[in-house]
Amino acid sequence: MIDINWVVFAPALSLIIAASVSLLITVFKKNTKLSAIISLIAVAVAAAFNLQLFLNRAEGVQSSFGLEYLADTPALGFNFVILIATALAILISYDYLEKRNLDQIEYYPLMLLSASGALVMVAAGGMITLILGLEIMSLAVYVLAAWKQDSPASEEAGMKYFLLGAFASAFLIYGIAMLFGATGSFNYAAIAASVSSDGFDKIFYAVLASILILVGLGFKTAMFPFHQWAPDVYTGAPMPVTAFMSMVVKTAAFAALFRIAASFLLDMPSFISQILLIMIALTMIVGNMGGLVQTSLKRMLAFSAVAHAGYLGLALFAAKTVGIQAAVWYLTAYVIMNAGAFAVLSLIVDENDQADSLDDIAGLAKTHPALATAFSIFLFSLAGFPLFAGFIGKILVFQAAIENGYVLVAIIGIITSLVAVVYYLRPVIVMYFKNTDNKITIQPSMATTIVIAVAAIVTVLLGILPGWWYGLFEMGQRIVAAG
Amino acid sequence: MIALAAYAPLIALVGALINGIFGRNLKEPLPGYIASAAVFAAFVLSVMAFFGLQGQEHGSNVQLWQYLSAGNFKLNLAFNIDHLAVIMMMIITGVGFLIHIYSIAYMHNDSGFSRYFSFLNLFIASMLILVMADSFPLMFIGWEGVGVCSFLLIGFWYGIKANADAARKAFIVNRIGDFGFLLAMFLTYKVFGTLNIADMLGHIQVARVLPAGLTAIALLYLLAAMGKSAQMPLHVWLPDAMAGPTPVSALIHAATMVTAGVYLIARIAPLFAASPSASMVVAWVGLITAFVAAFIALSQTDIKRILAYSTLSQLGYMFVALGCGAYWVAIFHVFTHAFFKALLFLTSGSVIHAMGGEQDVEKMGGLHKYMKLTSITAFIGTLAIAGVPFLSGFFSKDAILAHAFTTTLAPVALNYIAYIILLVTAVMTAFYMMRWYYLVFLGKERLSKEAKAHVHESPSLMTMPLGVLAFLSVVAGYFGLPEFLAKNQFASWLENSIEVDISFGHPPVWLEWTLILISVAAAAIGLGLAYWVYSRKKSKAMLRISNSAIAKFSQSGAGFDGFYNAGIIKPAEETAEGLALLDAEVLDTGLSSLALGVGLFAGLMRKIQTGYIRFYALAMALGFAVLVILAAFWGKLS
Repeated sequence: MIDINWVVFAPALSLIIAASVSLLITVFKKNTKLSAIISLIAVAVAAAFNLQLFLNRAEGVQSSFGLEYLADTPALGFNFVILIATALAILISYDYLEKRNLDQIEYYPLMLLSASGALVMVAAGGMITLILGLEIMSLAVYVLAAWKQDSPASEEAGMKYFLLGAFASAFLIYGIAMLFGATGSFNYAAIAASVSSDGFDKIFYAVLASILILVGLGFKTAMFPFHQWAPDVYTGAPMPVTAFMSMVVKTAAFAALFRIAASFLLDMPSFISQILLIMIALTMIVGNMGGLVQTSLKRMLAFSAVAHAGYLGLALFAAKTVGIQAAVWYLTAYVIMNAGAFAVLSLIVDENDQADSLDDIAGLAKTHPALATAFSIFLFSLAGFPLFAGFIGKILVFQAAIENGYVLVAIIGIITSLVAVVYYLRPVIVMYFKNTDNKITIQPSMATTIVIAVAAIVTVLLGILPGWWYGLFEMGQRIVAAG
Repeated sequence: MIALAAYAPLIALVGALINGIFGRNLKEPLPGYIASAAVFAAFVLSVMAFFGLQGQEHGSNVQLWQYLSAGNFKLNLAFNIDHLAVIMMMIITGVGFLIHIYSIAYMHNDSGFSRYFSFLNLFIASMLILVMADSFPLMFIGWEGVGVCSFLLIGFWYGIKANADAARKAFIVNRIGDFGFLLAMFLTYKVFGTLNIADMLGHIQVARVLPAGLTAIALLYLLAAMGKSAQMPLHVWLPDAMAGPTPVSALIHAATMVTAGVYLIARIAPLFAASPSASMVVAWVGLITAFVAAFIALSQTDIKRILAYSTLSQLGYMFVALGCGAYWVAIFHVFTHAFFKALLFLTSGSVIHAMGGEQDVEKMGGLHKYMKLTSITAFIGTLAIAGVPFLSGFFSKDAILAHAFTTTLAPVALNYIAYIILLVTAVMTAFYMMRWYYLVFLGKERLSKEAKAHVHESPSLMTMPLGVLAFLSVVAGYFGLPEFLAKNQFASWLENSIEVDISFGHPPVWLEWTLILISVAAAAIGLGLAYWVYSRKKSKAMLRISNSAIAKFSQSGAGFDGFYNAGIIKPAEETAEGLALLDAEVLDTGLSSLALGVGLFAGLMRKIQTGYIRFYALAMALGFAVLVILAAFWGKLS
């Protein structure tokens, strides 16, 4: 018997319906701004449904389609992050597309569909739902990455992302099949029960399957050694799409990874954790080292996104306890400061997303003091300075790792985040202290300005009042997939 | 009603933000009025809290928010508005308000008008947070906040190098104290497992902590207090801090911020009461500071520097009271001192204003007839600090002397030594204050031509605060009359906040009266002697006491700056030069090879980052293969 609980499904459904409606409407009246507004409303409705579910969370785990589609506290937390990120990406796109003649009507529907796929991924209580959500999300993003049709870089980014993404999906699906072979189930709870039962004798297949799944999700989260696509694709794609990818795709992939880790990955023989450990340590090192040598700010943020995947990974070790709570917090902070940074860049770059080198922002503090202040706030927060959101995020993930006995990797994290200060603060120095006659022209945009202002305020507020948002997602011990 | 006072810092902060962000666009008096209104609102809230606390045994704990609770790491931000805090709040906002008003006239036509009021409001907010905090981390935020504001305001006219240097000096010397505060916090957390002040004090009585541990924590907090309250040998920044605008000297460097150290020790009084050895150190630090600073004040010639050394000396008195376990007395002296010292600074500001910036007392004299109001209020302040009966300074200073005489906290012999040193200091205090007053307001006019043309009574916006402060300097003492005369309001009020059990000897009433008469005699001798000496001296050169070595020693600030220059700053500079050489020769080579390494690694990364899809796919497959090999390898081992 299939039980369908529409309320649980409502957040994703409202995005899908809005995507269809806005496609239909824009067939008759080509107006992307209308489409954007419909999308924003859809995101707000989805957030309202999510809030409703969140307020009812005390009444036990809400689920649909058996246990394949969950709306528990972790899912609802990640949903909020994804919806916030989507709204920010839509606002950054609002004027950006029009100025560059990229305002085809399919843009926002694709973004909504991708976000709905992300919500499905987050909610997945089983492997089939996961792969379904992952593909819905990814297919739309492949198209978005190649959105700038007259730009070879953008086309290349889309193609590269598509081919490598398909390759990674193959790993993931192979892993799922193997896990099914070993345990006889697609459902996390059933897999977890099977793996930890006494008579389980297919440990070899389960381990191999775990590694395959790590490859598949490691690709989407951009973890070493499956991160290489990220700098190239992030650089080639249009700025708002880059922002969307680095926020929504990352959040969804991490949400899936956390659920898998809490369900059975951490119960595997301990060397799976050690493999994860090595991946995370190298991700932090490679991401930050890569950031160190970039001159393009967009590419620097791409490497920064890789590095932050490493920091988030630290919380995976605590996936059964405080890890998810920490990750929801970290991703919220990350999404907001990252959206802010990309929004600032989207105002500075020229028509082809070029002119984003360090020299191009020299003296920004003189010509546009408010913009320079906001950008500095985002960079300080990304670097993890106290009184900004990023600092608390780092404390939480380091604490999660240390409390679970992973001290060494936490130390690597702390050292690499010190190194990262160099490249995060370099733009600040250039903006404020470099003498130049640079005449910086920015492209005014009301929507983007709103993003920057809100993001700057929230970055500071989260840094001063972290307890509020963090406390909301208190989950206690019951975050293992419901069963 | 009490909890409302939690908004006081916020209001001041909003005032600071308004002036800080929009100040440049506001016309001149407006930023001053905005700032004053903010402080006045904070004052009203503080007074409401004061009345709310009447008849209450405990203060009100106002939860602000839980900063973060993650695992073992919990930090609640809360204000504890109790009897002690509310006294400090009323001093800060009350005196602060008067000084804001005064500043509107004093800072007239200054290009940094709105910046000044923004800083001043920020200071009030930080100082309120400091006294209201219920945990050490929150107090530390206020502690650092006032430090920053002090730095900003000392260096307010940063165009002049001496001012910027003075600001830096204040900041750096204060860092030593802040360092002590940090270490004290670490040790507190280690020993007591909490950073909440009330919890920690509760643990002292219950938990068994080694006395050595208590003493170590107490001494570290003392170091913090010495930095902020400018006790010797960390006092050197305060005389230089006079580079700031005079109202700033009155507010920050006399009435409020420098008493933060006294407040800190009174706030954690049970800790010091439990450690007699730490208390003895406190008393000696205070004694030395009180005596030496008064000695230096005898021969200074800068109108504000005399007062600065006087402040040091009075802070020393407060520390003696703390060291004797007479915590309420220390706060009582903070209370009276805030009025008469703010008054003295504001009158000297009025004089400097009238003289067009002249600060040398040798170029003043006879100003009484030009500015009667300033002169009369300054005279009241002088008498109050000198300890003339029936004025506020008399009661608080006499209480300190009496408690030093009768304390049982410190070893017996200390009582009488302390009493005698304080008595001598009291004579010196009366002397240098009378000298200050005489040289400025009485005697022969020694004004320069420009000054004489310029001299005038200050506008009413400045003289009004003087009047209010003079009134308070007269009456403030009656809240703390000696116990054998009347019920001591001040002591019984603070008993609610400072719960310590320290006994004092109860001398017979005739001895009490004798002690009081001796104090009165000390004040009379000092005042009379100074008047006698200076009314006789005619020529300018004669104004200095003499050219003896001891006078020179006094003039040089007892040689502290010279000592620091030769003993610390010079060696530090030389070491720095040596290190720079080392840096250039050795470290740079090492660093460049390190950078080369990083560069090579990054270059390698870049080489791997080819951009070819086939290569990336290969890398993924290889990565997978390596993971499987690792798993196989470890799987066999485990």
